[in-house]
Amino acid sequence: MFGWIACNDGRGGFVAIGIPGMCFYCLGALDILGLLETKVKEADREAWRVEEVPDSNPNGSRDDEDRRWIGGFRPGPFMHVEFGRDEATPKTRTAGALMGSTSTHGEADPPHLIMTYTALLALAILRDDFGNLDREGLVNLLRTTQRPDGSFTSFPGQGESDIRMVYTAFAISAMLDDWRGIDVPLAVDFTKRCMSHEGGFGQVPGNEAQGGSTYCAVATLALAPGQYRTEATLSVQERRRAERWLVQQQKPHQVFIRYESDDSENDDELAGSLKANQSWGREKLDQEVEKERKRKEIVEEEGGGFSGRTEKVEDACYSFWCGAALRILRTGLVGGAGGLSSQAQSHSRSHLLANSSASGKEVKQHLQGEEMGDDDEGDLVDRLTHARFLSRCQFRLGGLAKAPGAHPDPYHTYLALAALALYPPSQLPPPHQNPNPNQPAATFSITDPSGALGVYKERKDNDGIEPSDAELLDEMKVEKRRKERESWKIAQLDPLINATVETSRWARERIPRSWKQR
Amino acid sequence: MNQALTQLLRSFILKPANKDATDYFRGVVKAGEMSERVLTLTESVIRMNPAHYSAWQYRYRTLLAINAPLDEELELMDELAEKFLKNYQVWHHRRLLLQRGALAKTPAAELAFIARGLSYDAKNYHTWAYRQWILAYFNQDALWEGEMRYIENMLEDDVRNNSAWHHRFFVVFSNGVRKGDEDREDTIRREVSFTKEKIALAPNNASAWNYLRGVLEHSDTPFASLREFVLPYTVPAHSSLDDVRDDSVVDLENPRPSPGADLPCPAAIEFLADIHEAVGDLQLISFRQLWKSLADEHDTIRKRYWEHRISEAQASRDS
Repeated sequence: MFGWIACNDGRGGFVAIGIPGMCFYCLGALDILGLLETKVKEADREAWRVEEVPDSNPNGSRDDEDRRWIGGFRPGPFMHVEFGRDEATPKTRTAGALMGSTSTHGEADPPHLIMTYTALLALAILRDDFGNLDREGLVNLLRTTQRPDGSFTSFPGQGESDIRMVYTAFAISAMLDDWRGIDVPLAVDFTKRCMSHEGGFGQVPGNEAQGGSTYCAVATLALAPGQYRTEATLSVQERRRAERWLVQQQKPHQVFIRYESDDSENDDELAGSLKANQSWGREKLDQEVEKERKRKEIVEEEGGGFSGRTEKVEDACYSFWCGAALRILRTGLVGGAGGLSSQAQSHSRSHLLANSSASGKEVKQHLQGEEMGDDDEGDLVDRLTHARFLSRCQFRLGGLAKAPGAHPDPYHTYLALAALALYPPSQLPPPHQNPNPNQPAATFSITDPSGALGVYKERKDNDGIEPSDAELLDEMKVEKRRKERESWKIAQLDPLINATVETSRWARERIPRSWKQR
Repeated sequence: MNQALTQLLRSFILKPANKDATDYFRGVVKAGEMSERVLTLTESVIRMNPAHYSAWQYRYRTLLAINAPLDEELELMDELAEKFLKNYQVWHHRRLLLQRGALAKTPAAELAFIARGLSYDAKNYHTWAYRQWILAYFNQDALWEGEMRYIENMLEDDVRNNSAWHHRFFVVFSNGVRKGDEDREDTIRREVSFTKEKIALAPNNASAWNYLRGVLEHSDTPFASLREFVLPYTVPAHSSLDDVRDDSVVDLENPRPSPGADLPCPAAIEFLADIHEAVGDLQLISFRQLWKSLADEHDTIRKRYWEHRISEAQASRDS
């Protein structure tokens, strides 16, 4: 969704994503896989962290100008223009190189809402202590960018405005635990008006329902602070329509068989060509024909993934946008009653009550997704078919693409992993039994689709192999899978701010002013 | 991998061509220059990186400051829009130009431009969103008038073009009442028959079913009014229903599935179940059976969803 800025372009490349966005997708993927610490040296993590906007502004323009002080992050230093002050110090030039934090508020150098959101998350993943974060600047950035219709422009000035920026404004405020920058009821009203006749949400009121904007809308409503719960709640009707639209985007599973050669020789021709070389009897010939046919068989699968709009093809990124929106709706966080099982529901309700009494701890817990575990009770996604679609999106040299056979990129890789973190496939095929069937598998192999994800491939692999070999192979496979299972752990994900529960916890603890004052 | 990432990011940041142009850009902005040559410079920055929103913003301010002819700017945008069809800024800049009076006398030309774009990429989100903005912003009868024919042509080409279906809802229901549509009951009847025909043509088309539901919900029309129409779509082709009906009698109100259609159609079964659910308790068994058939046979990917509907209905009956 935020990668729309570039990824959908195909020509813009990640140039247009902005550097914090790129960092976020790359680091986020490592974070979900729990590989950040083992695969990246602490020194590098340190180097990637950024010098934030100095809180006590060294150039001292906060008081001597009547314009409000705005903080935030830009897509990168390539847009860096210092307004009315000296060039950046060598320190900020190097340290800020990756994130492009800005302490200026020049009109040609504005911070960007989406970049600010992804930069905060990327820094939380790197476990930055946010010691120098200009919190007041961020609040002012939100104040400056909200429009009279409740939406936000992407940066101060004449930037475009739509539901993506509303979501990032809410996520930033939630991480800051400071809502002074937003007129919440106005923004909530804008959000609700984005719902289309189909039940999904469009980018602005009147636009076609789309997976990314539906996620932004639903997460925005769920993030709204407790005192605005009434406004930010969907009616039963609305919740049902949104749910229906979201599940409708998951594509039915279909298998096609086609043959290697397009002219698809018939059995007689095959037999003829085989007979020319051998002197087989009828029975043997039939067997050989069958074998030959199998060899030429190409099995193609589709389905299991989500499309971003009605009657469009599946795309790995919508696994997250639609999947996460569904998960949020199912927890009952945006009302409309009827999420989860009745027991979970009453829990959720009491939870919401706790929220409205503005208990900070409760709110925090709820953001960290602690009650959104991967208990698949009441979730509406066909997990196994879904995971198998994503396994087909893997590129043979690594990474995931939007669809099988397409080129991989950080955006789709991250979002596919995030979706798997929300919906790990729980029905693991034998012989690698899940020790506790009530506990959905926390780990599974994504490197090897013939593991948890590829019941399908198994049949083919065993073709034409002598029993003893097959047995041996089976043992080796089991061992390989066991090892993979141990090495590939998928973290739990907080669907509201789109980060692992651990990272979300870090962000919610360290980004608020209260942490700084400690 | 960490080094590679750092390298990659650095190499981009310092890419020479980018660096030169952006260095000039920084210089220009620092000096506060607004001139013809700033337009040339920002154009080259934008061509290299169309997402460079500061360059777009500074360009816009420069255009206004030096009173540049906006229609000329729009011609440049025609080219850039085609080049960067999925870029946000290029469309946003266009809006700003129009809000400043470009094309004020001939907004219809803009619809023609959009139509050209959609002829290459019939479902482009930005392009449709922009069309909707143009219609609502100028809000002229003459502009709205051509929309229905345009949509029908798009649906002739591809009956599953959801953007076109969505646009139809936008035109007929979301933005006031069109000239000639003042009789709302008549309008709803027209929309329902139009959709029925499209469903008959291709029953497994979620766009058409969603539109039908949207129209009925928007106008508080009970789904049950379409029971007759829906029934033949809920059973396998050539089922017992055919025995009691005479195919030679054409019922215009209830067009039958086209020959060869893949039946039963899950969307129709869902629709029928919704009818039964709305009717109430007496029919509980019936819609549960329909949902069950979707869960177990006709729409198994959504098994969990249909089971959820069953338990939700049960819970609301119990409470």
